[in-house]
Amino acid sequence: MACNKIAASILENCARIVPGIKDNAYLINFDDVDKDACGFDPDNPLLLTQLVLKTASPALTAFQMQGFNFSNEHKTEMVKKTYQKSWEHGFVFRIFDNTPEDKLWIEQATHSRFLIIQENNYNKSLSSPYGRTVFEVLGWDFGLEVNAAERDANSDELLGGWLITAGCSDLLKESMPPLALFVGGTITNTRSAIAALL
Amino acid sequence: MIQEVISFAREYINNPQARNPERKRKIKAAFKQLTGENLRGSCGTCYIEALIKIKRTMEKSQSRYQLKPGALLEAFGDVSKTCTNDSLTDELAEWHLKNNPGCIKWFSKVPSAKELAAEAKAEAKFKEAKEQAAEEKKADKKKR
Repeated sequence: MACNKIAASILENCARIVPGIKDNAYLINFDDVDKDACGFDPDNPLLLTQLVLKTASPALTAFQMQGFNFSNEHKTEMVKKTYQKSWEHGFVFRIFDNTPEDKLWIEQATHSRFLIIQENNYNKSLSSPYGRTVFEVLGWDFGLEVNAAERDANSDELLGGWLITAGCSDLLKESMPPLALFVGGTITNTRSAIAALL
Repeated sequence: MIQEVISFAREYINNPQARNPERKRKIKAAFKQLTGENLRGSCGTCYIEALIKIKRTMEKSQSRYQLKPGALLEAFGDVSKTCTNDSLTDELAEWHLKNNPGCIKWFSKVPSAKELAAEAKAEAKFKEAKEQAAEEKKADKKKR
């Protein structure tokens, strides 16, 4: 079968889709991911079934990014190139603080590339196994970078906190939309696997 | 430093009066030594969370098998065999490696052939000594 043909129908979704993402997201340094040991669903390259970090000492981990009151935002967009299409993965998060540690974190983040695991509010329960719509991985091909970091001391919204905008680099965009992360066939196992990243 | 921090961990967690700046400094240093990260001590439970992480990491580092961060092992139709590094035991690791040798790619630590051979040798010696002791005991009883 050709890889550039539509191969299935999309039918009405009788589950009601829920917008937004949770306040907890997880950042992983791009170079820390052991891509050789990660696994995908054999029928769907957008379904990541094992996300594993490399072996190193001290042990590599993911980092939690905790927002507040739906302060994290996500957007995916297709980008039309001359011959092919690619994808922009965007993630906006807010830091409600301004300590020297926060500033050091931001400064280091601006020079790094990272993957983001985000948790959607939408958990489609009508399809089996349920839980496949919950976790998504952004920046699988190249990692995301910080494209903007701003602090307005008089901001009415952030009250002097930081607004960080992460996304793809200007030239190299992702080859696919964000990957679904579903480990071990259940949402419980997926949560355990994410906990094992921390 | 890490061992010292572990030695006062229980007291630090249970007794708020045991939480002095000196101990906080030591936890910070141990955390940095173990994880390479700077501990952000701005929240109320940061030091306790760090202590738990230090203890867990140290306990794990003494086990014979270790999974890579994020890896999950599972067996079709048997939920009791599902594990991540947090719930991995030597028995589970050996079961998975025996039944699915390909899963070795998700392990960050497995005993080498040399270590396994030494273990087998030590075990055989122990068994032999035990049998010998049992025989001697039997012989003693007969004599009496």
